[in-house]
Amino acid sequence: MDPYKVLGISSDATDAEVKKAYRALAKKYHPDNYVNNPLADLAAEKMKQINEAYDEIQKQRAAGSSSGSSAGGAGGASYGGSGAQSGEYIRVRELINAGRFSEAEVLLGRKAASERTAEWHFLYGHIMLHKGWMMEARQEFETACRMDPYNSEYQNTLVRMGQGASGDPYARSTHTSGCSGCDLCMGLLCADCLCDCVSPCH
Amino acid sequence: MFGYIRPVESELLVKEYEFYRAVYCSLCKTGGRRVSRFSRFFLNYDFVFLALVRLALTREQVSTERTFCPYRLKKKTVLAENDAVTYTTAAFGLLSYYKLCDDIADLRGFRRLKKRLLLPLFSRMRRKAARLYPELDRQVAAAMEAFSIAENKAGSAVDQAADGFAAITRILASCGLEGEAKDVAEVCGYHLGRFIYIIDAFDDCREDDRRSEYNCLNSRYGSAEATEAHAEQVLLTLKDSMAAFSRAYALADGCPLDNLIYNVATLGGEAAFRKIMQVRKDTMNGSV
Repeated sequence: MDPYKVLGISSDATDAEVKKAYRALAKKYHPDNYVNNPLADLAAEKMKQINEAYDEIQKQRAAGSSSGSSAGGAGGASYGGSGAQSGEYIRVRELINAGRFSEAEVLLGRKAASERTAEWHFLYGHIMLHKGWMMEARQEFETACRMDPYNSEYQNTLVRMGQGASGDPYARSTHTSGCSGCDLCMGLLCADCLCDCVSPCH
Repeated sequence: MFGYIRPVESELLVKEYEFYRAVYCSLCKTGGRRVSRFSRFFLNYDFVFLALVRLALTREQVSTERTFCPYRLKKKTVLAENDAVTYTTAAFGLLSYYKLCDDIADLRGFRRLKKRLLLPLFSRMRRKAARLYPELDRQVAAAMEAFSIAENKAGSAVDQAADGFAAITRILASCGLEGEAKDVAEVCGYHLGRFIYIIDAFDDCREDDRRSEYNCLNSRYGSAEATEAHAEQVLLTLKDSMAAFSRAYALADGCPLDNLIYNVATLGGEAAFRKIMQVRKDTMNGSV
């Protein structure tokens, strides 16, 4: 396939235009936007095509000076997560990554209500999100954020959930207009840091 | 489907709005000819959106033509007959029939009688639609049965209640498609149905409360007043669904209809909810 066609540009595009088109498409199809989405495979496939097209163009223009791909890379839409994970949920994460959501749900369902940690709510939220049960999913993510307000993995997932397609010309930050528990915690954290900065030395 | 999904016209280009009107007129005209003349009086905007999504995903090339409208008594622009429009009118005929059957089973007294009187007309509509798309008829009938059972079991679980209807719209959006287009249509259809089910429940919450009929939001929050007090939470979940719709559609975008579809999904969904809130506010102010 013509790599220029994949990126939606003409073959006489400048290096900057190639990079710009690549970045726009990579942002649009990035696996992070399709985490636990039934279309994650399709998004990964698109991302692969874009990466290959970009690499191909770079190869073709090897004589030129453009270098330093800013590719984020397709990566995997996995739940390795950046936050701290406890060993007991590794199996659940593996099942989710393998697309075996029903089994993951059964495993999580075995936990008594009193034993459910922030990570439990986060993972259960993913299962709900995959089903398209957005109300339950949001509730679980919010609970996870409330229980572990410093976990960026939980917060990013909650923010991403409300974001539309990056190619959508009407997409605005309407979902972030509210003040969630996470926003509040982050705000307090920032305020605390600022207070430390401006307070006199002890 | 109940006519909630509309574009925010002021944000569209004139040619995009004209195309939208042309799709509406085409559904009316084709529905009258291929399904039932009767369908013209029940057509709603949700089906226009479904036709747009099908047109976008199938990449069907369509041309427009000017034709005389006997109801408006003037010439209107319509699309030349195409599969996406014929399919949508059949989908409309089938869903209307099965929804009517469901209502007849649920309602009592005079309201049931009223619906029963419409049954022969809708049966004819279904027969003609099923002849055009027999597989769609079979799938919608099965999903409608599952929906009735799921709704009875759902109780206060909003997502579970909406899931049954969303499964029907998933079929309507994806039946007959293949590969990537089918995968995208399934997710788009699901979230479209979820949106419609929940916004309709919000719109009807007072009426359902008065009649003591099942409403998933009233069951969750306790009463119609409590449902209205949680309006922002309901709006948030509606927006989540439309965001999921847009993310799915983005995997197949790249056609001249993208702007129109994103407009309806991103702006139209919220506008529909705000309109319901405004009407409710005006009604309350008027009654004080």
